Amino acid sequence: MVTVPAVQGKRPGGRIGLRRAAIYGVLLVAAIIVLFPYLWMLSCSLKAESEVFTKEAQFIPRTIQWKNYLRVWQDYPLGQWLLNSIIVASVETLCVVATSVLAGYAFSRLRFWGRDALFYLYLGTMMIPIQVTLIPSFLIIKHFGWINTYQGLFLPHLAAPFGVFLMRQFFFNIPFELEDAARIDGCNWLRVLVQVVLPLTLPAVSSLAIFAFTFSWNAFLWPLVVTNTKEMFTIQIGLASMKGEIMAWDALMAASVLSALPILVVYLTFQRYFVKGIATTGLKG
Amino acid sequence: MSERKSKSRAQGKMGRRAFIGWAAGTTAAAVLDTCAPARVSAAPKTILAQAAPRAKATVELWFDLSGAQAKHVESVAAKFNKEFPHIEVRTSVVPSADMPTKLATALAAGSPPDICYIGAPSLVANVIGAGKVEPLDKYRPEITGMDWLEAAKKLVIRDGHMYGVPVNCGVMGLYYNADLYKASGLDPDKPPATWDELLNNAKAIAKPDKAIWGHYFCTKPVPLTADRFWLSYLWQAGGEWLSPDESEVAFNSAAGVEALQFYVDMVHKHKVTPMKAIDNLSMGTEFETGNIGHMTLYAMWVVRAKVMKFPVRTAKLPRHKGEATGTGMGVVPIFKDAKRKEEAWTFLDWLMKPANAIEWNRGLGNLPTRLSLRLEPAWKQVVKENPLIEPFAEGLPTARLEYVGPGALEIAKVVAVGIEGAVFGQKSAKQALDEAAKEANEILKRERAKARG
Repeated sequence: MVTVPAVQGKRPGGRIGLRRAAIYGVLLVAAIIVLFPYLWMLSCSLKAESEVFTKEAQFIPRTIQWKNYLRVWQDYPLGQWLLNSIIVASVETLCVVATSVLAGYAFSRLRFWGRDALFYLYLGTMMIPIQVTLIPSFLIIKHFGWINTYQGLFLPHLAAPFGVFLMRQFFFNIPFELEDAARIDGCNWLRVLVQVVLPLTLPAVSSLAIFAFTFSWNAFLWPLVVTNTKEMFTIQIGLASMKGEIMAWDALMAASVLSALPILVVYLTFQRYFVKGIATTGLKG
Repeated sequence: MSERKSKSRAQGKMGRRAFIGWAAGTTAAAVLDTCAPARVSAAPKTILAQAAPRAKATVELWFDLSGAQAKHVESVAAKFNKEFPHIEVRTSVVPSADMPTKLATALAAGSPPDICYIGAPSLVANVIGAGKVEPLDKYRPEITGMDWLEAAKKLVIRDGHMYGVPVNCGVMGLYYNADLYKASGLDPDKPPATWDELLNNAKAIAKPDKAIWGHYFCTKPVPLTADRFWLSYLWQAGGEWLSPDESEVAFNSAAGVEALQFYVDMVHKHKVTPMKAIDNLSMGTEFETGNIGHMTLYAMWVVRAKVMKFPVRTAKLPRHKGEATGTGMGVVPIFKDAKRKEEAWTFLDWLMKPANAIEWNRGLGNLPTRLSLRLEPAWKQVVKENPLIEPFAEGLPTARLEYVGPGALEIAKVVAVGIEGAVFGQKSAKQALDEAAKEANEILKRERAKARG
């Protein structure tokens, strides 16, 4: 039996532990800085209106005002706004994932004339700001009679160049040999994609789903111009319509907390794939 | 690759072209499928429309107010709908900061609402200037000769035609904290009437070490913020924004420098105002803390003042060489591309009736735009119920409208930046205004050249 001699003096592990503690300390401070506005929002959502702005900043409400949530729910069609956002964001996410997987796979595996040029051309559309396409898109949707409808809200965003780029990069990391084996066994392109490749791309698909859902959830300009009634507002437009020269901050904060919940659920659901997806596709924040 | 292709073809598998075709087809099918409910839901509507004996005319009204004010607009529309069963005014709230974007898109696409409550005078001037709105005197010729405020006439009457109904105005006034007055040994019944009195009271109240400040004014360098609030001080000092022929700016006159120096001194010499970026929104919320002695803000804030934990009083803006106050205005035009112009006019005509005009303003915490309405018993009742509004109404005769002509927003921006520069001690008041004037004159020159084509 080999015996390990006792380390005299300072242990190497101690230095590593100190370094780790310092890193955790920095991360903790960063986390507090990032989380503070959200915690403040939560705190204000539970305060009485007169407590939101006081001489001394007060983090813990004197009396918890759950009724703020009830009031905002009764005074505004918040449930409808959330439902609209969930419908629009879900449809957009599903379609963006579907179109990105198919197009990304085609751009990474199939060889056809002008493939790369087409890909870069498509990618180049990311450079065009929404303001440029706003009026033409609005006219198209108006022509179809889809102003103030769900389809009008999500139609222009069913495919995303960013998603195609993300998936294409991910597909390049998957060895061709895996597919060759399936193809020798008689699989067609679609079956190879669905049964062989797709199960390996779950981290990237999850990342894309989170990005697409978040993008859609936070979208403002397009829902602003394409919705005309309170009943069709998405949550972001609804929240903005609550703002004004004179406003009840406690109610606005309660509505903001409620609006953040779905995005939190989506993130927590896909969290374990998210980091992996970001790491493997080489994307950073 | 060709071997792969021939193998897959031989096996009857999907080739690359087939795959691309399938992908496109699937996507299109998915899109059409998601859109299907709308097609289904459209059918019964058509059947109903054919079956109905007389369809109700729907007038679409957009407005950019929130909270209690939004609810009030809806209640006024509901009252009209009850009185006119064949018309339905359908209200739609638009976030106030985003009204220009939404309206511009709708106008460009030829599908604006029938009518729109516009709270920003510059936007009113833009839509009139762009020829997008109907002259209202064709519905009622005497409308231009009614006793509208001068500022209202200046905004909506062009070449003898009136292009919108000014439904309310918000004059700037002084709000002050009566508790801080008492705590500082001041009489809350005696608000400051001059700049000197304002400064003296502010000095008595201010305790910078305890973050208690004497007076708040806007310093945020965004258009229609610092510049708009400073404009009243400029006028009170005897200055003007533009030269009489409007060919160049005049705010960098001796009066302008005096007005801006008053700001600078309050921050640096007397320390009654903190050196920070303040806008109209943050001013109101900071006043709510009870740490601010006075602030300059619009009449509509009286709605908020009533729910403060401390007693709030109001007064006319203190005078200097003269009396003056800035005014904002809510205007409702009928758009040229509106679908229901006649019905829209019926609503506006109804809204101009004294009782309805006063009711509109009562709920919004604003002031009527016709001087005669102040003599109506209904308005006197409003003032009785809410005495805070009276000083604002008293300021109406001296209310003036900011410049809303070509380049107005850009000029507002350079002045706001200049004010910030002076208040933050980066430039002297004169230097800041001279630099802003140079830039503003370039903007005016460019706009004149553009107008000449």
